[in-house]
Amino acid sequence: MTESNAGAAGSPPGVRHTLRLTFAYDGSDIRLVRSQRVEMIAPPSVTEPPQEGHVGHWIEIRDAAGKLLYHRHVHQPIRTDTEAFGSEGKAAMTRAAKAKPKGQFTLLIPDLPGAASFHFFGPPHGARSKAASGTGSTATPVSGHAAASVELARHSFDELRQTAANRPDGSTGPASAEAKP
Amino acid sequence: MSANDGSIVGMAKVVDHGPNSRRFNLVILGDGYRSAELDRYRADVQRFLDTFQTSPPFADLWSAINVHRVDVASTDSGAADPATCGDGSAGAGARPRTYFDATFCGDGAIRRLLTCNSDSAKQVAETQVPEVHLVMVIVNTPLYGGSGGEVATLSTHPDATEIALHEMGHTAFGFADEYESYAGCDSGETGHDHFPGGEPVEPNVTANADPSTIKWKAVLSAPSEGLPTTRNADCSRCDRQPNPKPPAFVGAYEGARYFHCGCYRPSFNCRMRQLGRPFCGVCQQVIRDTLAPYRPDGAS
Repeated sequence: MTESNAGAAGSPPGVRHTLRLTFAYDGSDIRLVRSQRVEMIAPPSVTEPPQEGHVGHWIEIRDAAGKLLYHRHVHQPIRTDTEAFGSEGKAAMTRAAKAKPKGQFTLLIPDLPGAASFHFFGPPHGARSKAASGTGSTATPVSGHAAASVELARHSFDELRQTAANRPDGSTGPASAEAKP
Repeated sequence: MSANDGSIVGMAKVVDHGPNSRRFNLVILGDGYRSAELDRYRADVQRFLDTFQTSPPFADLWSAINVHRVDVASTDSGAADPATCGDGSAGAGARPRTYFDATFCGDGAIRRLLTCNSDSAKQVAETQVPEVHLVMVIVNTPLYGGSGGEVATLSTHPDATEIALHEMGHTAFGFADEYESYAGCDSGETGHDHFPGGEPVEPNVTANADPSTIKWKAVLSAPSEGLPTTRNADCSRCDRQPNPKPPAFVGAYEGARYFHCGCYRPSFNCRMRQLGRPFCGVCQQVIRDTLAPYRPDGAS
């Protein structure tokens, strides 16, 4: 996010391969557990590139010079709370904090020519913890839904492609992940 | 799960608009249907698709979408319904053996939260359709319920289709929730008076109500009018004022993304704010833009 965001484009026409990245999360730990290369179209960029100080989760792909090639927003892949629905026929929805955020999520990214690095942004762990601490309270979590996002994980494309190519099941070893607290 | 609690019977491409590698692929799975109930499952899938296809803007984008139905037979029928739940409600105590372990009160706290083993559902979907973009599980129970996340889960109750469409908004299109409270407008919640953060990255909410720079300035209904369209006069609670504009008006309405003030939504109502409403104009445009690369003609 510190490099140039100029020239960010959507998924370019003709790019027909996608990397499906599966991450596991447990507290501050975010770990890449699988990378698969599939002939399919990844969702395009449809918003302006995120900037420093922005709030939420998003993906970036950059070239070796740090130029932004692709970005996409994603909705709460790390789930700190659960959506609750009213009784049948009631339209309103609410949120309820999860006691212990833990699980897996999948991201689809285009396998772009010239792509050098993959970056995943979201609220810092401290804010995520606060978001999960409000169970049963009317003082419901604030920080997790309004804290400026930071880089949570970064991987080289060489690593992602090699992993997908070398292992039939696409799984990675524990050492391949570079997650940030 | 378990695979011990049923089997994958087969798969059908029920909406086929071309090669999976060129289309947006929705994979639908079933849970809690015994072999003898799979005809009902197929009808339930079709009923969902009929609603999905006719919900704007999907009719115009239908050629971008393939739908794959995976037929999964469970040992037992229905979903687990724990006798007790954290919200104090009472369930039937049913504990059927089903392939994806569908259960009400899935978080131990909210009865209507119908969940399944989403990791297992994703694994089956990815095995059956490697090009999958979105996974959905229909659970064979008439009780109202559903949940979101990586896998949208819904019961066969007619209103549960709305849950699935709302969750699709999150998962496939990255929409934020547009409702203006966290625990509910009547909950007495604190800490949600004023959005304290920077600009949200989601395309359907903003902290910026400047008409010349607001992220949906291209689709404002009245660009020459000032923004915001509505202000909340009391940020300690939800804004109760009625919509001063027509339903489809796109402006900037104060109250969104779990905050009473300081964050804005494009229209007074939207499926991302209330179930049973259509997607607002901004959400519909984002859906069009997202699905454009999957259309045979590439149009947005």
